[in-house]
Amino acid sequence: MVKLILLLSLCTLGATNGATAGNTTVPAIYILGDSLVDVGNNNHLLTTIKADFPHNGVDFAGGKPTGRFCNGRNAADFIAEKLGLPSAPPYLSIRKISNSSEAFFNGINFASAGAGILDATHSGECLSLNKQIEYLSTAYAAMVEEIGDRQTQEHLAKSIFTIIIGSNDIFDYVKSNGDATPQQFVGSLTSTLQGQLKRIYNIGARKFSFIGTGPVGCCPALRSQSKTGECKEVANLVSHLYNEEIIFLLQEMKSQFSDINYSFFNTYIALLEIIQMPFNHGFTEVKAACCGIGDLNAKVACTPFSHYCSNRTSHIFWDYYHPTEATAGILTAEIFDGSMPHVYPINMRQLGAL
Amino acid sequence: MASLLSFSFASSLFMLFVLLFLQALAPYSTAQEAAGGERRPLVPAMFVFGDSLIDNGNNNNLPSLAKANYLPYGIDFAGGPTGRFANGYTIADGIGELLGLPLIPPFSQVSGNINSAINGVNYASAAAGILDISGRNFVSLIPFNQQIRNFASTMEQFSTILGAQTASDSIARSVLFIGFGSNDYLNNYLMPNYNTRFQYDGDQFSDLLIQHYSNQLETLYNLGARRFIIANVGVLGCIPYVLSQNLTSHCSSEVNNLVINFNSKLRPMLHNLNTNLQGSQFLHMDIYNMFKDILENPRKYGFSVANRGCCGIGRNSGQISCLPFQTPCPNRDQYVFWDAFHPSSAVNIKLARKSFSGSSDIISPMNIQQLATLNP
Repeated sequence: MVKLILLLSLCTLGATNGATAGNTTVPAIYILGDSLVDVGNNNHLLTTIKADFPHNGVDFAGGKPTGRFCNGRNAADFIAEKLGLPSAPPYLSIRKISNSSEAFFNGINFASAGAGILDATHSGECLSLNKQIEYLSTAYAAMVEEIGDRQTQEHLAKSIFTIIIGSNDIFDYVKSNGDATPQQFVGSLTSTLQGQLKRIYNIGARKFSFIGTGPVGCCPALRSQSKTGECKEVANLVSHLYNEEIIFLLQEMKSQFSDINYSFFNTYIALLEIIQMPFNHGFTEVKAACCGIGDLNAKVACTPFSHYCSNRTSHIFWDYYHPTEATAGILTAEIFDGSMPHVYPINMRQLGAL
Repeated sequence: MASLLSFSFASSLFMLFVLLFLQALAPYSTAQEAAGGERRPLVPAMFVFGDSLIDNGNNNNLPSLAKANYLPYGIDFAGGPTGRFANGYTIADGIGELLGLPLIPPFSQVSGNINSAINGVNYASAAAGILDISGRNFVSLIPFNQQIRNFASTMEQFSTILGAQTASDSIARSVLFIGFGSNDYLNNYLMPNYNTRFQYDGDQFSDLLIQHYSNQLETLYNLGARRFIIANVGVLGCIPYVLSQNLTSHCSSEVNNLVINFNSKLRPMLHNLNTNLQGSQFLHMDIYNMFKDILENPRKYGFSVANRGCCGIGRNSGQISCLPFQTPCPNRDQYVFWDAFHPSSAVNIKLARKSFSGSSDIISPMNIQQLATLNP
């Protein structure tokens, strides 16, 4: 009986989406990644990488921290909004509830602050991408138990899988003084990522939305390492090379698995444009974080003891690493409706409609 | 009906192709003004082989980490970024213009459409070297050997369209501009993750390179080419990238000595080819000494900055290359270097001009103008 109700509700969910959103029949989003889209997974972990305390969430509904590394909604929330879906809850919250398998069909957010492609990145302090994929596999098995393999595959094939990963690996590379050249390091990242994307495909993903890394050298944390607050360009170089390789990885995947479609977002050039022409979007503060302590408010994270700015919509960055809600909103609008070269080869709206 | 139409369209294109080629075979002593103010070409075509100094877009669609198809590259080029590693013209563009040719397209744009190859093709690829393994840190590239295979396929298509004799006459009067060696040093011998510097000393390595280079040039001769301009390797020890590696920003004599050693073997190798390959003309273009003069006397040439890139990051604006949307220097004509590795277009144009009409201390046994106007 439960299975029948579930099946019916899936169908109506699809139909409703088609009618109200008018542009997509995407039944759910599944998100994997890092703190740019973590909506609370790290709250459940024994780690120092958390945001479930003020002043995070100061502009979120109710003004309460939720685990988001942001003053308000982050990209995960905005993407859900665009698709006419509820924002997918964090996996570690869902799996605790009694009817978790049903909840899985509405979308899951596996993202964890600190996560990287490499297991060594913040090892033990977050859910690595590999761990997130394991959880995805577990969720898949639970869904199959509910409605069977074929229905689950159909559901996942129509859903969008959003992946935002790489920044933490890049920060670690820049911090370490290793021997690898930027090109070699990027090669090692993308060859690992290739296997990870294949596993996600094997679980049933057919629509990939890959969000590239931004000009991470321009985040307040790295700027504060220079006396003049300039961007740390080696980080930007690695980010740029990584994005170039991702595009080829996706093209190669498409030639290997013809039943996939993808949308790549070039966060590097999209965010760099905002940083170079901030007034176009009403920003006046490009370098300093809104919430934090020290040079550029970026030496210490946003904690209850940090001061925070009143004009949050004028700041590009919320804390030492993360964009404000305003920035996340602008970038998501581009992810959803942008054109080349910001997106390649299609945007998320077009991906959803396929 | 449709097939008849397409047949006549194809055959009129074919006729146009043949006519243009036959016209180009007529001898000229100087590039004359034709109706419309365009210079008539001195040669039927120019074919370009090399690395990022003259790549004009071949890496754009490769999974390569060496590409320049984004601003501010091309900031002074009419069409914006094309994949050229400069703010505007490369030295190949400059030479082509002096020969009266329009801009030569990259092979990546021509390979499906032989008609657009009528003025020549540019096969150059960033990170390419004489050796296939050079430049692999950038993942994908087209090494010289592959560039030669690409040229062979172009020649085959010409032969099919024009007939073997006409094609061969035309290629024999065309000019090949070739420049290799930088990546065999920067991105092979001097690269920490390569073993070549342990397998060969400097002298042995340059011998190896010259041996391969000679075979490659002979292969091009066997494919029908007769007129070659070979550029030697520039002053690698003084590029911003190398300057930035040491705290005093001095040129690296270690790097320059390796290059001088290679260059010293290039000249006699070309002389041998001139002697042994009948009907061939191999010109030796001394980029090294032309560039050295510019670096030692920049003001004489109108430059005021010779030790940092116009677009780049870090020491000498050369530790990290020019990233997308980075703001370059405003006074680009005053800079010898555009980025960490490449000269500015102002330098490229000067080198092209000097080689076109220069004397034997720069280019020998004759200059480009003389080569182009040799009787067949």
